[in-house]
Amino acid sequence: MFEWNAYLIIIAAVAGLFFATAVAALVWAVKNGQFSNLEQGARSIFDAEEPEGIQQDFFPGEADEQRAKLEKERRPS
Amino acid sequence: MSPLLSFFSSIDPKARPGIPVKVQLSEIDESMRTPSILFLSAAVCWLVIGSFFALVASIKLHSPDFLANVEWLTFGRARSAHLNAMAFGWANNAIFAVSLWIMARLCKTAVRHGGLLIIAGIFWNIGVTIGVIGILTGGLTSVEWLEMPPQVAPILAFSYILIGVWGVIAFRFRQLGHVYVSQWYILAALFWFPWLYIIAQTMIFIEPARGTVQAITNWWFAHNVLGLWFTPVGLGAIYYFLPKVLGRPIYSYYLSVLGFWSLALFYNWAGVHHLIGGPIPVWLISAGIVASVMMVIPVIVTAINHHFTAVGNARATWASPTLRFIVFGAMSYTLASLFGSGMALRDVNVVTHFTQFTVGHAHHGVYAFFTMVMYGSIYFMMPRMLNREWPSAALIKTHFWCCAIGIGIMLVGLHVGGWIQGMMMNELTPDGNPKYTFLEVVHALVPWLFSRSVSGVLLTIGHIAFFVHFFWMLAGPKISRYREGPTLLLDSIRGEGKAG
Repeated sequence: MFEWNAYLIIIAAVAGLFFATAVAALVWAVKNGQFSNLEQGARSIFDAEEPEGIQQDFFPGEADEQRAKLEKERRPS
Repeated sequence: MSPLLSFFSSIDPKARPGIPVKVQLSEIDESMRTPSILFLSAAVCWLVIGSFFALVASIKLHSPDFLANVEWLTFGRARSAHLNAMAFGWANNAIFAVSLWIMARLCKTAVRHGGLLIIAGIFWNIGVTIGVIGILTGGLTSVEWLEMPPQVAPILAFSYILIGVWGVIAFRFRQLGHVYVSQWYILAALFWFPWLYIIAQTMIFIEPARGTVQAITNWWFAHNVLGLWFTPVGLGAIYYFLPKVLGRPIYSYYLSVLGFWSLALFYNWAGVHHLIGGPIPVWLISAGIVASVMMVIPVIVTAINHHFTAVGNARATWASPTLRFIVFGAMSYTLASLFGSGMALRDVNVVTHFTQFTVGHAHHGVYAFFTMVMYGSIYFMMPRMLNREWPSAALIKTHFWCCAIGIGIMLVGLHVGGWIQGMMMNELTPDGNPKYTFLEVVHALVPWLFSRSVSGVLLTIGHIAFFVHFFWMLAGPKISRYREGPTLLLDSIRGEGKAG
């Protein structure tokens, strides 16, 4: 339909639009205060059901044994 | 209220006063159970089917007589069937399950209308099945990563939109002010994939661009499927599960945020490095090389973060099936990405282009990184959704060791073999002619190709162990053995009591 270099402009425009959406999202995040308290943000994955400081996953049947070993290892420090 | 309006308002958790806005993680897991199990069952089946095609294709490369009289398993078809079964069958189904689950958990919103997700999931898998059969019966296209007959594209695109939109809806109604880095990765991926897929379909099949622009579109798509679809979901999962399982926050949250934004802003250009030396404008290639090398920044940032989060926790990591796979994947991500940046340099690319090195690199990224991370995520999700423990530690270990050793053999074989292949093809006699005939190069490659078939057998054993374990768990007794489980509230409280 078009000359081939016209398609090149189309694809560059698509890539440019892509970049623009990423920039827009970044601007939104800054204005929204997403980067204002990163220390707290890092902890947002923990809650009462899966709290910080507790290992959440063991091989089936080895949980008690492994947890005891971990406790032992951490105690001296 | 019109039915459509009432449907939309039923999606919003605040619209109905009867439903508590804040929900427990276990309720979210419950709401995601049926759709996730559907996606994962399909994913695990595609994984085994894809392994079969992979083995056929791999064996044919060193023993061309193998199944030579079966027309629907010629090398071109078996290889393309393998790629599409793995990419669209295994990887995408796993992504749907894992990313929507993580998204719902981080947004603290239960998924409503899970039925739509199930219907869309069924249609997605019908689309992939038709596509793979189309490839096997000779209807494949010559466009790498888009070999499925273009007629299935509307089914896939439409069902994808019905699936991906749930991640966006969950994000829209999130309950926490802070957007965790995994949410950024997953939300971005859910937007990027349809963008890539629809533009590639349009510019290659529906309204084909002329000349080499088709090739540019092809590699823009194919590389970005890895970099803007598999990679962000894989990294999002690592950033969620690594700190979650260890029970300690990520080493430097600031670096993880930096890593996401540099990926989002610059990765898009990198795909053109597949066309280095090709008949396309040189500035485009140079831009691709610059973008590829710039990827070193997010990769190093991510590597530092993963390393320092896991360091000093070797026992804890090893004791968790999830983390064994995830840390393996995280380490592979660093290595594969640094290799990738190196391969984009013209002087390196002149050796590795058109060799098995590239095939090795693709498996490094998609298997050693992405697929291993998905295995780890599935090992974490399943017990929480089913309230049931995995039946057998031995099967998990079999799965891990077969996959780890298998992919290790493949990576060494294809990288070393591919490098030798590239050096032999480039070697010139003093008067400027190729030193080796093409056939000599092929013969030199045979042992390395054979090593890939060996690795393929190991990987298939691992996949079958996973398949058996997965369906054994689904069919298993409905007793929740929370005493041993890593999963439940009771267990966490008990652990907390001990720690205090």
